[in-house]
Amino acid sequence: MNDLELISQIRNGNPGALRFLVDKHKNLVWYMVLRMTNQQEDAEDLCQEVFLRMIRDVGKFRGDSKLSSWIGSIAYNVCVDFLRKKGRMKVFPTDNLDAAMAGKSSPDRADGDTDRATLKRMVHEAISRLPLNYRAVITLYHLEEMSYREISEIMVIPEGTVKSYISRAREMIRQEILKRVPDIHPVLFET
Amino acid sequence: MEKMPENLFDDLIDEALRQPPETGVPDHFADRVVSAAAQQGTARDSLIEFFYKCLIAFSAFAVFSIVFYLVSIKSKEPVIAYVEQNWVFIGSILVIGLFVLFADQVFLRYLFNRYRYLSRN
Repeated sequence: MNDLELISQIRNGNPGALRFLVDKHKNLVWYMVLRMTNQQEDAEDLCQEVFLRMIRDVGKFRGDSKLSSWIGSIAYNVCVDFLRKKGRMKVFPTDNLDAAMAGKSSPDRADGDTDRATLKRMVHEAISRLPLNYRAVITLYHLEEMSYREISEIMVIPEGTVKSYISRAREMIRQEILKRVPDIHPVLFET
Repeated sequence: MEKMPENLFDDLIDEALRQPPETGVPDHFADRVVSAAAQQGTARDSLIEFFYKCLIAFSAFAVFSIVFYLVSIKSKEPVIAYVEQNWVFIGSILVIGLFVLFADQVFLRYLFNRYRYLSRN
């Protein structure tokens, strides 16, 4: 069943088609919501809101883009609305890396032994402190393995901006890790 | 700052970025969405049904009024005079009737569906 046929089934009120669509795209929505909002307790409600909004607007899907891109854009907008209501939005990243991370308390330097697992945890912590758009972009690019074009359709930004965000986000993560683990060599070479 | 082994650091960041969050989607999530969608659809359908019923009732009343006004009946003038004198009372009856219809067809139906949905979830 292609995307348009699936949407057509959902418009006809077929609950099986809806369940199939939810199962197919729930991970995409879940990862986006978790990463963008950093809100574990609200994640399930927000994910549900994404799918309900999709059902309400199902007539607007024309098949111009992939269904996953359309659902991703709904998830993005739901997260932005949620964060706006909570007053926690910092959507537009600055060019100044320090300013972008300013105001957020830096975790202390890691002391003692730091292994790869700890470094990965630090990367996840660093992701949660990135500006919103950076979090969205790297989630879609790395976790969902979407192309630059798909990400640019979801977030309604140029492809060049997507690439730039990914590059800057990685640099911000790198800088944060290096602040916490200045002597990172031994960990990188650990097997 | 000492130069880093860039490839290894990048590989580590890539590995971490590709790692999904520890908490996954709950098992019952699809069921929950389907129930919520059914409830949402019912509320919307009830509202649409209510508006159609109002439209039909209003149309019937309008047609009847026009026909009554155009047809020459001796009792027309007293009826019109009565309506003009008691329009507040008649209007109140209509508003109350509309409210009762809305409460029955839309609001109560929504509450019952919501109760059923919450008790299932």
